[in-house]
Order: sequence, then structure tokens, then C-alpha cells
Amino acid sequence: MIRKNGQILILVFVALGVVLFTVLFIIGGAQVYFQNAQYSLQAEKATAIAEAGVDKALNSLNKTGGSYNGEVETLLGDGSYSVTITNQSGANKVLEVTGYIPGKANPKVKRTIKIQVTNGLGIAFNYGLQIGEGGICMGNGATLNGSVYSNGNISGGNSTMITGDVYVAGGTQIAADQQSDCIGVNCQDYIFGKVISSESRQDVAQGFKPSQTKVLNKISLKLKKTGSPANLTVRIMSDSNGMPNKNGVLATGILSANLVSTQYGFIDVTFDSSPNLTGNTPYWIMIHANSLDNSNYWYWSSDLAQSYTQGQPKWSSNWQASTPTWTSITGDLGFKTYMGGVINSISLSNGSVVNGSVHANTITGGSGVIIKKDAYYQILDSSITVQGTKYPNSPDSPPTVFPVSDANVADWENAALAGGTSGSVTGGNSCTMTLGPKKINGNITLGNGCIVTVKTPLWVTGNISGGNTTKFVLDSSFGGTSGPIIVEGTTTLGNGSDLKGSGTQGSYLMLFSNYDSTLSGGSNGCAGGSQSGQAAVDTGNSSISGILYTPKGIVNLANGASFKEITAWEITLGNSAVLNYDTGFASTIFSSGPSGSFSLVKGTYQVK
Amino acid sequence: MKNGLTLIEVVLAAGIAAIIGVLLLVIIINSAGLYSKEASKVSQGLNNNDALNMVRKSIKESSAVAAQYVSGSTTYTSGTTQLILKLPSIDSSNNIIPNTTDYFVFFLDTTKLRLKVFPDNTSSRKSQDQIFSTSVNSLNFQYFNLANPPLEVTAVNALKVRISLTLRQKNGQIYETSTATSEANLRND
Repeated sequence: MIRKNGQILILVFVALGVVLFTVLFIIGGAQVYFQNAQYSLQAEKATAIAEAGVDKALNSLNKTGGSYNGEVETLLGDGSYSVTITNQSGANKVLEVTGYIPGKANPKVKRTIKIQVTNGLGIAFNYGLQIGEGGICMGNGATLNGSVYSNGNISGGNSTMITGDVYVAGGTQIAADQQSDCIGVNCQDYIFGKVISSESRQDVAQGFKPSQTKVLNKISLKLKKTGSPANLTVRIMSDSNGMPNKNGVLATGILSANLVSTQYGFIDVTFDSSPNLTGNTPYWIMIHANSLDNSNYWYWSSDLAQSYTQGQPKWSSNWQASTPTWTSITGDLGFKTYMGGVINSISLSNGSVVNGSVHANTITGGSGVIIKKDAYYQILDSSITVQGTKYPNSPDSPPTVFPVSDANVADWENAALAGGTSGSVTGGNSCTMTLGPKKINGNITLGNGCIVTVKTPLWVTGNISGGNTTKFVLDSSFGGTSGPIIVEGTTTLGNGSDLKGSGTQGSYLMLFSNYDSTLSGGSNGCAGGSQSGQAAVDTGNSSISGILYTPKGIVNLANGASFKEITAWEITLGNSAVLNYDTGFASTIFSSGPSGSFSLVKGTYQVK
Repeated sequence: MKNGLTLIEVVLAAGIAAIIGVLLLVIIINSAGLYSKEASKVSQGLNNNDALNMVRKSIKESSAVAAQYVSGSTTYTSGTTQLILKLPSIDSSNNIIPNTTDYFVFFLDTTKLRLKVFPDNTSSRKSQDQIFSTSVNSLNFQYFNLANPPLEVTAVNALKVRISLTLRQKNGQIYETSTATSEANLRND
């Protein structure tokens, strides 16, 4: 027999090897997992430190009036941060804040936040085409390429076409149903969104009783602000024992902080849906401030004379507490309520087509009118063919609020006035000139082919009249920011005219017309494509790359007009006119803002 | 006399060797099982971390949650298993291009968590089709506003998004599951 020693030992070694490998793998795997988790945690910490650095940098910019230049390294928590500031043209700066763990010298993890700040006014044009109570007036054969949201009637001649969806909001009564305002010495400030005398005034409410049983379409609140507080949440609530009922929220809306300036103005708010209110029943307008901040807060105008008798104001530190405490305020807070109940309609004549869906209280039309998708309505003419689904008894769409307030315009006008005043301006054919920032007491009259470089804000108290191919161009120093020309009178542009930005992407020149077409007979809608009043802006046959804004006026568009953005009380499309427009702009920064304080520019947050 | 082993000695030695061999085999099998189990856990943990990090970073950089995105014949809809984020487009210098949008779609494709990126024509971001995990058992997106406490809202009204991800992997005869939850606010809303 041959003896071989160590057979078992080999097996033992194999087994020990397997066990050792398993143990080492488990330890190694746990180490990898631990390091991965640790890295993720440190990355989040670095991001949080960088975000804190952004807040600090913004605060420092505002404290120093914009002269703050950043920081090399500041210790914070488990790490540190550094701030670099780059001046952009116009009112913008770029903040690059890097958070380090554990420090800048030998960082294990670093994260950089890049974001823009501005002391200009940010305006969101959420709709490419936004129409007010004047509605849309389309001539025979006119075409509107895109979707439309109108607060007024839409009237179309024969063979008109709308290629997108149509929303016609429920009509709003012109006069306020309930209102409270103050005069002279009775006008006092009621501050909220900060702690005053140990009162954490985060929620403020004003009671009211509607005089009629209808939907509430819109409210206006008399506000001003200090610093750059965040948007407010506004709720309509039912009453519970003389205070807002926390379980009775009837509608919610957002009040954009950009619409509020440092001077009082009535700011419109609409809601996600228009609530039905019962006449002579108590309700509450309740504002919730997102934070209590000693630097960024709100003022609500208060009438010490207490002349409003249908409700009183109260404040609370937490409207959602299990048992909210509401404390009475002396005075009445400034507000207006506007009821709906006005029937708005879309009325298209023979052979007209809507390629999308239609949402309107009343849909009427001649023969051969086709809605290619769905129809949401109360009343529908039997002659109209709906190729999608019919939704009768649909509630009216709520109206929308325009993105620029009277307070914003007042600020621009003041900034223009600060630049000086001059008389009327005249230019012949092919003229070139630079205007602004200033107030022109008179008219601007230009020949063909002029090029006008504009430093905004430019405020024209009279009319603007331009020949063919005349162009208004925002000065290149404005960089990525935008600017307004404010016109009190009418504006008439020749064919091929344009409003151009500074040349940098994101910069636009806005023509803001304060002309009120209702004073010359303008009314909601039209018949057969005929406008009902003097147009505020007549564009000729032009392709305009700027922004047209006429909150009270009619824009008259000729054939082949195309636009970036129109916000108008009413639009009139002539016979066979074709309107093309782009989608809205989420954020447009205007160089002259109301507050003068720096704030973050939405849409510019990046993590690197 | 010849040296040798008696039959009893041989049988005893063989028996002991067999017992030791079986014991060693058991150790090897158990070790292999433990190896497989731990490898599965580590892999799941890393997958969870990577997926949640990417989702959270994308949410932070988003301007809004989109209701739908149509790509060819496929329509993505934001809901419990699909999240469509709108991110500002960037140029070649990594600067934001105003008023242009890239779309990030996170969605559950049977058991895969996938990210597809649909950049705007002017954007320097590249199209992506990335798989974060192939063993997803459940995926749940929830949408909130910024109220205190946050209230659940429809996707398009969301200012905060929460993701709950459960991974499930077969390990031998049993399944290993690992659940992680994360949330972030939209910073570019």
C-alpha cells in the first residue's frame, strides 16, 4: 500500500481559503458600501453648505448694496464654503458657491451651486398669447396657430381656424362686489410675514360677505413689501364661529411677489378654480406668508376708520393648528372681490375649425363648424360638430391674471423720470438715434428704415408712429436682461417693424401700452372681425421678436404677423391674417425692478 | 513483519476523512451562500444610493414636473411610477439657456429603473437612456406642495417630490429586499 500523507490537510486548506475569501469579501463589500454611503452623505452635506453659502452671499449683497465680492473660505458646520461673484451685464450677477467637506485645502467631497441673482424685476409670461376681457376678434379666413387662453369672448368670421386648444374663462363683473380701502390719515400699515411685538404674524385674514350668490372670479389685495419675500398663498375660506374655517378652504391661489412693489397697489389674484359663494354669508380671504423674516416681509393697507361693515380682519400664527387662534386686528384691510356670472362664449361662423379642445361656457357657430377634439361647456349649438367627447355642465375656466401690475409700471415710470425729460422726438427716413432712459413728454414720429437704440425704461406720454422696417433695439449693455418702452398713447408700426432685445439670449424689448381702448368704444368681443374701439397697437405686417403688452388696449394684427409674446386686453386679426407665436417665457428679467434688492433668478439653479 | 494498516484502521481513517470532508463542504457551501447574500445586499445598496442621488439631483435642478412627454409613439405621464422633470437646457459652457427645456424621464420598465433624457435641440446635454437597477420590486413617486406640513398635490403642481424605491433580488431560494426613500424640493420652480 502506498501511503500519502496530508490528504485531509489539502481539503482543510481549500476550505480555509474559501472561508477566508468570503470573510474578506464581506468585509470589503461592507467597506465599499460604507464608503459609498459616506460619500453620499458628505455630498449632501457639501450641497447643503453650498446652499447656505448662497443664502449668505445674497444677504451680503443686499446689506452692502451690491458691493460684496465673495469669500475665499468660510468655515461652516462639518466643512466650509467659498463664494465667487461674476458681474453680468445689466442687473444680473452669477454666484458660484462651493461647499467643501472637510475643508477647501484637502476636500474629500465638494459641490458647487451656480445661480444667478438680480436686482431687476422677474416676470413670468406663462402664456405665449394671453388675452384679457376684450377677447379675440378674428376676421374671415383668419388663422391662429397655437392654443389660446382668453378672459373674454372669442368671435370669428367665416372659415377661421385655431390650431390648438381654446380656453374661454368665465366672465368677471366689471365692478367690485365688496371692497375696502382707506383715505388719508386713516391709511395705516399692517405688517405680516415677520414677528412684531412677539406676534408671529404668518396668517392674516379679512372677512367679507358677498352681496350675491355667484362664483368668485378674482380678488385684489392692497399690498406692498420690503425686501424680497416669497410668493404668498391666498385662500378663500368659509367661516366657523367668526374665524376662518381651517377645514373650509374653498379655493387657493398664488400671489406673485414680483407684482408687488415698495409702494401700495391693488394686486389681482385668481384661483385654481372659481369658488361658488352664497350671498350675505360670511367668508374669509386668508393670506399665508411662507416664512417669518425680519428682512423680507409684507404690508397690507389697513383702514383705521373701519368703514367696511361686512367683515373684520384677524391674524394667526398657524391657521392649520389643531385649534387655531385668531386675534382681531383694528381696522379693515384693503381688498376687492369680483364676482363672476358673466357668460363668455366662443362664436365662430360658417366653416370654422378648432383643431384642439374647446373650454367655454357657451359655444355657438354657423354651419360646418368643427371642434376636432373635446368640448367642455354649458351651452353648445347643435350645428357644431364635436369629433371628440362632449362634456356638458362643465364649470367655467377661472380667469388668469396678467403678469405685470400697476405697481410695476409705476416703478418703471419713476425710473424713466429719474433719467430726465424731453419733448417730442422726430426722425426722417433711415434715421438712427439712441433714446432713454427718460420720459418723453410728447410723441415719437419716425420715417421708414429707422433704427432706434433704446436704453430703458423709456416712457412716452404721447403716441409712437414708425414707418416701414423701423426697428427699436435694446442697448447691448443690457446683456441678458430685458426692458420696457411705456406708451400712454397709441402705437402704429409699419410693415416689417421689429422690437429687438440686446442681442444676448433671453433679452427682450417690451412695448407696454397703457392706452385704454374701452374709452374709444372697445368692448368684449366683436362681430364679424370688426374691432370695437381704437387699437392701442397696430403692428402692420411685421414679425416681432419682442413682447407686446397692452393690459387695457386692443392689438390690431395684419396678415402674416408673428410674435414671441402678446399679452393684450383684446386682439383683432384682420381678414385672412395668420398669427404665429412662441410659447411663453418662464422668467424674463427686467433691468429696473421695484425693490432694488437682489433676489435669486428662478430657473438658474445648477449643481456641479 | 510487514508494516501496514489493519482494516479497522483504514475504515476509521476513511470515516474520519469523510466526516471532515462533509464538514468542510458544509463550510464551503455556507460561505458561498453568505458571499452571494452579501454581494446581493451590497449591490442593492449601491444601486439604491446611485439611483436616489441621481433622482434627487435632477429634482433639485428642475423647474417643474411635466404632466406628459411624448417621444415618437411613446407617451410618458407623470404619476406613481413615472416622473417627468423639466430642466433648463445648458450650452457648451454649462450655462443655462433661457426659456428652453430638457426633459428627464424616470420610469419603471418592468423591473428596471430607467432614466431617459430628451434634450432640446439647442441644448448641449446628450440624450441618455440609462438603467439604474434591474431588480426593482416597486417604485413610487409622490408629489407635494411646500405647505407645512406638505400636502399631496397633482404632479404638475408639485414643488417637492418623494421617491420610494424597493429592490428585490433572488438569492438562492429566498428574495432579498431593500427599500430606500428620498425627497427634494424643486429649486428652479
